[in-house]
Amino acid sequence: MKLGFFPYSSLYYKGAQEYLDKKAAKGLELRQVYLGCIARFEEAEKPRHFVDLESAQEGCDDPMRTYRDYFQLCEDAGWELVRELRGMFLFRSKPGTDPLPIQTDEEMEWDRFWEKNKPRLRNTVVTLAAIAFLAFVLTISPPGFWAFTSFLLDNSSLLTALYWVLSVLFSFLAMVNSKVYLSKCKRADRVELPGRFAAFLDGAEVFRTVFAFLLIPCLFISIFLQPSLRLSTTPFTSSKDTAAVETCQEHPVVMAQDLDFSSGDSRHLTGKHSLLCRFYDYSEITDNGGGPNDQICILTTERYDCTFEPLARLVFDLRAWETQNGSFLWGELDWEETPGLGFEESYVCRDGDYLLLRQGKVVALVGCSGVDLTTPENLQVIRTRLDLPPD
Amino acid sequence: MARKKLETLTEQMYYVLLSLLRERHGYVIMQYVSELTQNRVTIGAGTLYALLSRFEEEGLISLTRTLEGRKYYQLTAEGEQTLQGEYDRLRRQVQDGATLLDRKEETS
Repeated sequence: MKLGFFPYSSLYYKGAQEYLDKKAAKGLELRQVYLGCIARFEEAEKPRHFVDLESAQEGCDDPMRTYRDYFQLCEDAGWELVRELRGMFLFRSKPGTDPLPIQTDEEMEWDRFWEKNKPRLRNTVVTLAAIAFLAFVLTISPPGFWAFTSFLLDNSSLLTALYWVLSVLFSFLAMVNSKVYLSKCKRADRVELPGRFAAFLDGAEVFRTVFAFLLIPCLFISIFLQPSLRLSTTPFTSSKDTAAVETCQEHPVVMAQDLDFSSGDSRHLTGKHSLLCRFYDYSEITDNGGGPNDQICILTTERYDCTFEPLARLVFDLRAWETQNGSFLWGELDWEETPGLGFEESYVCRDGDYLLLRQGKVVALVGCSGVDLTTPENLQVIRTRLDLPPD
Repeated sequence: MARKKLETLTEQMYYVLLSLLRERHGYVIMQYVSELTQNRVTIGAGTLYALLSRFEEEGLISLTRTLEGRKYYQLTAEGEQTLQGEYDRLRRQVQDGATLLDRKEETS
């Protein structure tokens, strides 16, 4: 017994025929195709195969009855049906027979092929337009709706996003490839032998289905095993529900006491991490020390520890864009690029009240209304408390 | 490239219609054509199936009976007319060819 990868669909049925012919030349006969893509072969004497297109049964009340007549003819002629697969009938010759090919009129074969696959060209245009439309929607939608960075913090979102990205990529490549192949056939006015890349893309289509099935248990696992650092989930209520000062001190976030403000009694600290990113979200209600600008304010720290630096650069840019467009609890932040603060990248807004920085693989957004965080003293506190890698 | 109407017949079409001057079923038609043409013209099962469906749809042949899952067909009057028309056309082609080619042989 030998197994082989059989990814072909009706569009590339000539490729399937060539593949089976090569197997037959080695004395291998197709016995079955499992899971739609794994072909099982057995040794046989002078085996032969034929791949025929499944015809569209327009206006036929009972298509199976019509196929029965077709199968009867093929059987009488010495062909045995192995199975129907993705719009193809896979036949092998009966033992001891040397039957004629099932199709002997190239012109008729071309007509059938073209009729069957012509709609693909139209579908290609429609799908490409749909992808372009989605890309357009993605571009113009408010960032708060998409919240890209939140994707990074959730394994199930990452998996789902990966699935969709690969799906769109595969579909796009497969469509372009099928269009190229159909155009080539049209120019030649006959069914041409497809290239290997075409068959590979067909196989990728099979893998996409398998991936979709695997995705479901993966999603369940990732949801239940999502690593989390949920230290307090009830923000800004009372001291009873607040996160303990000692607990917060253990984590790299900027607290009121670090900035020499009186410590509030409402602290909220959550954290979680996915495959790509560890995230902390810290908020604390405080007053800023009793000076001339004494007022109640909310000190906040968002911190992203990314697994690699290019991702941190992306998160930095995305978070700047998202917060600039409203994806931030305390209003839109109109960032201005402010180099020279001692970080690899830094943006400041509202007279220094909010600071977005990136140092190595760490991205942090620190903010406190009415407090200039860009003074040398405060920057030093932030650098120390966030435990940033050296420049 | 698609044929819209059976104005002219392909060689395979011609022999299928010819074989249905008598009632026959599919596999017998395939064998008969091979024998008649000494294997010069062969018709695959899928091709024959498509031809029979098309001829039946266009009223050139009719289903006479079904026995042990096999369908038997025979030419209709319209089918005979089409076949005769094709035969005449082919004969004229042969005559035209013979006239010119024989004359060429005589002059040389």
